[in-house]
Amino acid sequence: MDPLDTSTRVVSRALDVVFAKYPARTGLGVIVGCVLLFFARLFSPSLKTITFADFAGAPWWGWITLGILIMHSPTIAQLFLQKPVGDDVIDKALDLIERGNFTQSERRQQYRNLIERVSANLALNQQAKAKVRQIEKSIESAKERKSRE
Amino acid sequence: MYDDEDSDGLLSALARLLARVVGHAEVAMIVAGVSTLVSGAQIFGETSKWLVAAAGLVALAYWALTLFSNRFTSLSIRISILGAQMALKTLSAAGRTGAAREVAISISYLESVKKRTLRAKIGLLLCSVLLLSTSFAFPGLELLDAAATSSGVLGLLFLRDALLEYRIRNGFFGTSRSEAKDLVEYLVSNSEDIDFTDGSGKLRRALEPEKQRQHLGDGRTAQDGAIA
Repeated sequence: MDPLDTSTRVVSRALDVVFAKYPARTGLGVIVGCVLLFFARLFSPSLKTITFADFAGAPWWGWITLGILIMHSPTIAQLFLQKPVGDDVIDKALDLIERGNFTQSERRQQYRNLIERVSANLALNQQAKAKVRQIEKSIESAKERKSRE
Repeated sequence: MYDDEDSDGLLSALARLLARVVGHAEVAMIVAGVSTLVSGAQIFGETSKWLVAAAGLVALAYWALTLFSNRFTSLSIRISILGAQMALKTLSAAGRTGAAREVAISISYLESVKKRTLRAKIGLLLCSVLLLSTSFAFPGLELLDAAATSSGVLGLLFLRDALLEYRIRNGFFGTSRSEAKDLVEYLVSNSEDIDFTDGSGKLRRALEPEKQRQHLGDGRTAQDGAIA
């Protein structure tokens, strides 16, 4: 297996873990945390008068963690209220590939075949279909442009 | 966003020029890696605030130019830079149509991933600039660590996109369980009508892995639709 394939896959997986699978929520959570921190620092003289909790003394990373938790509240709620995201049938197909007696390269090919078959078995909505067609056209025109150069 | 026509406007001419410099996944990975490391060094240790400011400003300028070039460059220019056609060159004419569709679906997925995090990126960009400038104007507020965090998270978001782009360009994408699942979920969420079962609740034969069918005694191998 290509070492670049392995390393980029491992780093991608690690980033998925860092972002808790929802990078937009995590990013917005950091923004919310920074805003909370800014106001906490700005109004620290007033916050120091509060006796039941030490808001002014809270560390900077505490505010950012709070922001991330606020933005990830739908993720936390999903864990308690809903089934894991994903189609049961697709999960079954993925499990069959995972548990099957395949070599590494065969397994990679099976994943690709699954994607190909899913795309062949469903009708994309108009917007997505138009988008894919346009990209296919762009690939062709980029290819022609490159061959002319 | 998906305009295929090359507009002759001044902004798109500038964006096209910029795209050739900032549009490479390798450049994005290097800038993202360095800015994340500097941010990490500030957060977990202590560095010069001028080093954080210099690294942050270079990275922020790069991200701003990337967002600008993505907004105003036509899709064909971006695909040309992405080099997606490189993966198709090596295939036979028959296999090329299917592969072109797979690459098109992967690029469409990449565009949707980038679009989903666009607001967060713009927000983090503004947040980093404001916090960095405020931490210099009012050092007493001690906001440098927060500026480094938002800049680092922005770097990681761009690193994630750059890695995805790199994997698509080199034909690695879609060969692991999580990637296959993400791509299938994207296809399912963008479909009008879908039924993967054969009516009795069982998995449709076309979706069963080939080896599994062979183990069950079915001699047929699904050559149809399989692409390299």
